[in-house]
Amino acid sequence: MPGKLKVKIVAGRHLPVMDRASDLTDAFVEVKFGNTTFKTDVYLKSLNPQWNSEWFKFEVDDEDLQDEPLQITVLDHDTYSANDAIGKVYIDIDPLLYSEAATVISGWFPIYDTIHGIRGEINVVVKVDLFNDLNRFRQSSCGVKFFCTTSIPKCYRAVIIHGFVEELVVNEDPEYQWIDRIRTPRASNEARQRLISLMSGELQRKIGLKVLEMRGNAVVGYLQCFDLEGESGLVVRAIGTACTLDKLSSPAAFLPACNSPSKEMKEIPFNEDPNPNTHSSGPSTPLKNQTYSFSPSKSYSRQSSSSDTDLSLTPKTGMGSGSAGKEGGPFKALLRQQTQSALEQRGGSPHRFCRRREFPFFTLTAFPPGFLVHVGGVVSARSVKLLDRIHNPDEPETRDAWWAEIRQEIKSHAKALGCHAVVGYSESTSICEEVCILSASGTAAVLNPRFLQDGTVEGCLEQRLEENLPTRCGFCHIPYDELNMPFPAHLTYCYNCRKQKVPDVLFTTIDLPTDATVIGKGCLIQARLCRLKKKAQAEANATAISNLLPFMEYEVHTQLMNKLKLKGMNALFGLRIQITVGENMLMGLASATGVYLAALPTPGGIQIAGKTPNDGSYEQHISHMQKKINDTIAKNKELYEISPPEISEEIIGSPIPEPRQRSRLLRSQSESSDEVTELDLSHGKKDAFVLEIDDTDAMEDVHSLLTDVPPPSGFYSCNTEIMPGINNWTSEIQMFTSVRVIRLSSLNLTNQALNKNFNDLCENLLKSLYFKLRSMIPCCLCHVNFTVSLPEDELIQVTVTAVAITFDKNQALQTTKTHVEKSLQRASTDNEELLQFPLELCSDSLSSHPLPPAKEHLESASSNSGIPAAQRATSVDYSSFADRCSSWIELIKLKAQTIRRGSIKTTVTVEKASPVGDGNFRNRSAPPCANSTVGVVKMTPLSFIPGAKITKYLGIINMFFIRETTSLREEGGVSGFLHAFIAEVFAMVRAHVAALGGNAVVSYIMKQCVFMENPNKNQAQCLINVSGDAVVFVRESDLEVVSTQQPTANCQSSCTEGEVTT
Amino acid sequence: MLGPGARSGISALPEVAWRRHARPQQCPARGARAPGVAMTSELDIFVGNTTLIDEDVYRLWLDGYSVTDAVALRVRSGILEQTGATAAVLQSDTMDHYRTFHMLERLLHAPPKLLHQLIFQIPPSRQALLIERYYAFDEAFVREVLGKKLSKGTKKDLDDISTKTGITLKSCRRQFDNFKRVFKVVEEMRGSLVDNIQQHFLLSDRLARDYAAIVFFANNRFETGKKKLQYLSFGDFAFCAELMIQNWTLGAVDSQMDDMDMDLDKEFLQDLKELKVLVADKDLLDLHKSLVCTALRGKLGVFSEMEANFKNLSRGLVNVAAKLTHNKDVRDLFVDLVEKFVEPCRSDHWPLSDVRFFLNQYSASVHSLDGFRHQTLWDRYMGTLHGCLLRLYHD
Repeated sequence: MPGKLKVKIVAGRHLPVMDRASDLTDAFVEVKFGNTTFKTDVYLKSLNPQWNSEWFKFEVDDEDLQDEPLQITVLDHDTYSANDAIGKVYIDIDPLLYSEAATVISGWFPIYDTIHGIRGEINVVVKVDLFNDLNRFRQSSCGVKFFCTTSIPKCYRAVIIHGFVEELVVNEDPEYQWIDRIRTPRASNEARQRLISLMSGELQRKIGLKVLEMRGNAVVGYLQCFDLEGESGLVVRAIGTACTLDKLSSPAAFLPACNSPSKEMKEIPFNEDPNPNTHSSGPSTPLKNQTYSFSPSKSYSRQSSSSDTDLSLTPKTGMGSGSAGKEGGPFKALLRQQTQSALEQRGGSPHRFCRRREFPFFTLTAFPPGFLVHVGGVVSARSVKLLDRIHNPDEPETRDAWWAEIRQEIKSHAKALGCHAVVGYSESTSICEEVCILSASGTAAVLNPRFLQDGTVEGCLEQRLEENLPTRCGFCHIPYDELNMPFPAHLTYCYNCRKQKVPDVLFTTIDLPTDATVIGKGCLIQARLCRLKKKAQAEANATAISNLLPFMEYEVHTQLMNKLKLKGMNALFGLRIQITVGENMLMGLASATGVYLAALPTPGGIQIAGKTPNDGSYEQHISHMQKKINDTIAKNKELYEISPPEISEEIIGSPIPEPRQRSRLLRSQSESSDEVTELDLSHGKKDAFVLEIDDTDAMEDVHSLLTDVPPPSGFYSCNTEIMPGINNWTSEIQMFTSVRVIRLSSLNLTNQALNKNFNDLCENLLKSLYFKLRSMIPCCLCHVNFTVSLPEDELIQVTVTAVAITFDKNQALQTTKTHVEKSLQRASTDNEELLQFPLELCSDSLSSHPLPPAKEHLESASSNSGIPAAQRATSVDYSSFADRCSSWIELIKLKAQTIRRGSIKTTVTVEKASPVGDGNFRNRSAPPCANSTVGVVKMTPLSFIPGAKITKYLGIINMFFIRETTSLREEGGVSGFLHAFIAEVFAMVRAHVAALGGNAVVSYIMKQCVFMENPNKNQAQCLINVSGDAVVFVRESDLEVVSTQQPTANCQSSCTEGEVTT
Repeated sequence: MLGPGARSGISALPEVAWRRHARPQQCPARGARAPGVAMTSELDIFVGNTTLIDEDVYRLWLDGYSVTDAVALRVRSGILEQTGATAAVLQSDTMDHYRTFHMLERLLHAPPKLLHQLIFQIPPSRQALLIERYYAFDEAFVREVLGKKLSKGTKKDLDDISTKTGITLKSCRRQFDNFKRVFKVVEEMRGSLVDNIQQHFLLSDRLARDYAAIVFFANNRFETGKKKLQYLSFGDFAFCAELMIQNWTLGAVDSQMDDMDMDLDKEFLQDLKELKVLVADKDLLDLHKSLVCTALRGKLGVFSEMEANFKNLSRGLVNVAAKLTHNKDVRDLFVDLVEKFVEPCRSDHWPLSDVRFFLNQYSASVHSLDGFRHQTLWDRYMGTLHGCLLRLYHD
């Protein structure tokens, strides 16, 4: 009996009218936890009931505390018939179970109903008294902290990063066929919401137990997902990184306290299995080999990937070239052994969790300095599975086995890249009918063992680490053996330290390390691809899909590489490739942030080669295209301020690519491949990329390369946490979600048309975002997260969540300028340079206010040309009110307190007082939100809030909502319905955060947005799952200002009150 | 393995087939795509954590333009050239804003709700802007309905008003409903009219006073539509309304009555009959005239005209007061004032300064009339009228 949960229902407000006769409501509340239910009294005839209940006390196991949500149901009392439910509130009490998080949940929660949406609010207070539990065999894991943030949370220090934790639970889906069940409103959806809430609680508890087993105290980068497998059930799975975190009292260094010499130095093999290929249930398939022979160029080289199916008819494929390889140098070998042993040792004890150690995976994407030693490249694996009913929910073995296989494969890929660990690891699924694609991806890396296990690193190694790893470029150095590379790659000496080898291009799934040297700015790079497939059933379908996958991966990769070159950049961060399966097509969408890493060589251009060189006009056309491409590259370099320092060949010393030597990128479909060129390719020493135009398809591709429009000036975008090259963020942020669904109208679509549609969809969406957020210029869209789904035959749904952050352009200019100056080592600070800056300042101040002229235009247009003069009515215009409006509400509130009824004088004096008051208010307008009745809660997908300091993490927010409607048209059609629902979801997240005492959600993510409609029946349904970390933040400016402003503000408000009351 | 999937696949098919035909009728507005592209936008939304409010689009929405018209107007404003956006982007943006405004409208009907609601996170300055603009009204429209009963019957006239003023019917409806809503909320409420409006609708001081005037006029049904009165602006009437509320209503004497600022003080109106003696008593009238003429001789450009007209003017002003016992005559107050005072003066080309001199002297000299006992009543009446007449006296 280790816990007592106490709940008090205080009041309700804005309740809906439930009794048409009286236009009022007789509301009461049911409070349910586990199997215990309490009720409040009925508060008669009010839309703002004041229950002020006693404390309802639940005495429960802490296991239940973790699993169960607190259910609060508001009902309308009805003497004669059944009571009508107004709506519900689910409260996850998990944040109350950690010692450092929230101590009380108290606030107004929106009352939510699956049909009506938000219907008023209820004020609830929740507390938990926890008793210490000494039972070692307990099933609960109270006290383990969870963070969605994929880096070490800001006010903590990582003592040890233990590694990968995963778990999944399965259950029957109470509503797998909504169309059939929609006739029973609410019931099935409410059951579903309740069940998922329960399953997430259970999952979190189980993960927590694993963390405790590993002697950790927290899970960072916690990612929980739902697989709605339809008839075969509901899977809730989660992955995360177990850590031991210490709360930081002061911003101290990250170094672990002690480093005692390690006792064991024996070499423990990375993998118990000496040959990763034996995991495959068959020989390496020709398919796989084919893929590699299709891509002997660099395009494949940075990504080791595979696709397989679990069907007996298609043999499983593995990584073909997975040999362990000789170690490059004694140091590297030593380092690797060390880390491996560190990883393996802790799993040594023979209990049931040792299996987990098999996977040295980390869901983190940003790391403490020094943690990341080398990065190998992206590793990914996909597998096509056929879903069948989960017979025994308590033994989810099949699903576990599926994921185990995939992870094994990822691990062997990483090993082939000479890496012992995978960072930035994530898993995802795409389900269509009974076919499911499981995907996993991450970045192979060599990690510094210091953080993985404290106190086992030998002193001398430590020393060598320090001296051998220049922090700025170390992570770019290849971890694999130069002489026995797992793929053909082109290596040069690092452009930074010139000691170690680096690849020419680097793809990763992680954020850009903070200490990396980047030249210029980054940009969002997307590869988009559609492939039609025949409709098929079951096995045939799965086979078709798994046959298509390697081609898709290849093309996505080629597109990424081409676009990267076109931008003049040489590395991708935050790469996320999503393959979505639909009834009759597959969609691939890869997003990443391209940057120019100073340590990597300058990328070569793209060269176009025609296939029939004799045709003169054709040749001309080709050269025209070539010119266009070259122009684009040059333009992009200017746009993203990429001006790498010129380094003479002597300095680099070693293989400088000969500029004219060509490699040929062969398209997968092209049958012609020159033997000689291919031989040449495998040596991989060339800088230019050749696109061979051998058919119209290829032509299209080149065209599509050039159609990607750069964002309008003043805008930048990236899908990583922060934009490389911008570091002077101002505090304005705007998080948003945008959803688009398009219907493909033509019945016999071609791949090309499909690609174009999809491309247009994404490009238009981005354009819309830029337009909508134009008032924030200069700003950057960060963490742009695209999700594609194919809800029906001809529907494509794209969901984007991102945050727009403003930055100070002048400062940016200054810093980049100095940066460029420094890097170019141009000491010329002559008059010209001095003059240039002020000039730019002027033009900035003009361009940074694009709206006022726009408004004038609009107004003049509507008064002159827009609307005929006669039609134009002179409106009573309150001209100066833009300045004043912020003050009015405050003024009114002051008046409300001090109002004197019915005196003539009041009006007169207010009139006199108002100009004075205005002046006062304008002065006070600096903190405009201070007087708002509803506290502002910021939301951001990033792990930080610009210009602010996170002082406390209050716990994880993980919410799941279903909304349905049977009056779609009346609610404004599909757009109106979904718009309202997403706004409601935001509102509920904010309310929960506010109730925990927080003022922001960081690492916010919308993991699922499943929308289904049936306009025929005027019905629609949507399911949304969001998560994030509730935090308290303090503005950096407030820290200083508050103390000085307090007295003046008081004085002003009292003055105003005085004036009003006279 | 095959069974379940196959079944659900078939069950979904008829729906899909049906919808394929139904689609074109359901979204007719979506044809603006480039030809040859085989896609239609089915759903397109943008939701920000902080609700985006575009002032220009809000104005278009308030002005009652349809999405199509609003897009056309925005295109004409040159926004495409400034931002490099396409018409499709503008369409999508406008739709988004319109949807948001539509959802906000329910809250705007009771502005305090907008402050307390949780669904839209809007900074207070923006909330104030939304409210203020929503309740703002067009001069042309308010002149049409000022003093009319805010009932269903008038609502039917909105069509005509829309045609006459060129304000869209939608905008007329909004403005009319605003007037009516404010009226309904504050009628039979105690306390100062302006304060009540401000408290319940969170309007700026100025707009709240305008609404007080509208409510006051609607309650007393003052005639403002006559041709004679066409030269008067809403501001003129609002000015008079404010003076009348301050001096002629129940609230002016007793602060604890329902409707105190809306209804005229009946007792006061009854008492006004007593003023009749000023014109009925020939001696008093002559004395009054001579006092005024003595004081103004040499100071007035239009002295002779004044002298000639004094009795007419005085009779007019006093008779207006004496008639206010009848509701019908109360309604015609402004017509009478213009007929009996403004027009005669105007026809003699009195400059405004002379009107002011005259009215000052006219009011003040009554205090020197020994036989006249209703000095307070006179001041209460004339004090207000004095202000009103000056305001009404213009071309």
